[in-house]
Amino acid sequence: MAVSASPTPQPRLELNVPDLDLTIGMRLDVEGNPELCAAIRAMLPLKSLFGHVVISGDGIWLPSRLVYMGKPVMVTRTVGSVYLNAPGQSICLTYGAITETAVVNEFAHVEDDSLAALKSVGDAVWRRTVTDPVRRSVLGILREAKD
Amino acid sequence: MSTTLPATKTWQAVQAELEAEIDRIWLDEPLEIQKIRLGVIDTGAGSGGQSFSIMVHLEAFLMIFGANVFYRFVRLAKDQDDLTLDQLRVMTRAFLHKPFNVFEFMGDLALHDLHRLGNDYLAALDDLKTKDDYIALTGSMMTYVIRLHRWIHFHFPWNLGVAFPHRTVEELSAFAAAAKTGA
Repeated sequence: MAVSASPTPQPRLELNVPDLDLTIGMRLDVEGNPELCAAIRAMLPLKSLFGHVVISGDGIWLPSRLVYMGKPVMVTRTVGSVYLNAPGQSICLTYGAITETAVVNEFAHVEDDSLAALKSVGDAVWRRTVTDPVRRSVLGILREAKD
Repeated sequence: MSTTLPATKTWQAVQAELEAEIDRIWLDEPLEIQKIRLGVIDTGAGSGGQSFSIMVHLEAFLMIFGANVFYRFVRLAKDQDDLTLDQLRVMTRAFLHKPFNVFEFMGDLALHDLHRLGNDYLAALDDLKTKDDYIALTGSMMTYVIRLHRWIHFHFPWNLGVAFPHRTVEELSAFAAAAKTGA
């Protein structure tokens, strides 16, 4: 009797923001962008302080120390895109408006049920690091999901 | 080709210092950045006794310096097989050292640690043996500069931007029409 193999679970990452008590889940695109996914996973967990873009719309970034020189897989960004800005060594997440035409090296996408949390984090980072005169850091911890 | 900055340390020692400094400032704001944002400018830079222009210069200069110049150096070293280590040294010094030492300029803008570590980086170029050595050392320098830029970006007074809202042509046309008629 043939035994059907259970599908291989998609690798997931989670971005924890302890100060806001929020966690954002995301699916890695290991088939579409295997080299970058491997490089990202090799440096996890990443603990860093969020910044907010000031030109390209509604996006936040998490600085890393990755000197990535692999082959990029460039796509059009959408809400929920998680991508590496290799020159700036930043892991970026798009949570709303996009006012930049450049394609991005996406390696993961935020899960639908985490998009509201992503928006909350984006709004908080915008306030705390751009519009509020007194700045307050927002810590992010990117790690492999436990499940 | 020799440099006017004599190497006193191995390139590995310079890279280790850079990595230690990156560790130190990764989550904790450097004292030099604190001083700049509070207006304590020990070099006297900032014409007219103000420090805003220092923030503007550092925001612009460090953004281009790390994510553009240094990143292109490591990519060239990795991607261009016909580019030799000596040619990389020449290019790097042309961008960073002669005729204008950008690290010295960073020191004038009160980033003394970047001035010191940058000069160590320039001197250590003579000690490199392979292009992989160059990529390793320059990659660390890039990370250090980019992290400093992120600290400046964090404190830059973006909140002043409320005074510069987007306008539409229609809004401005309506204003012009009203101004002409005095209405």
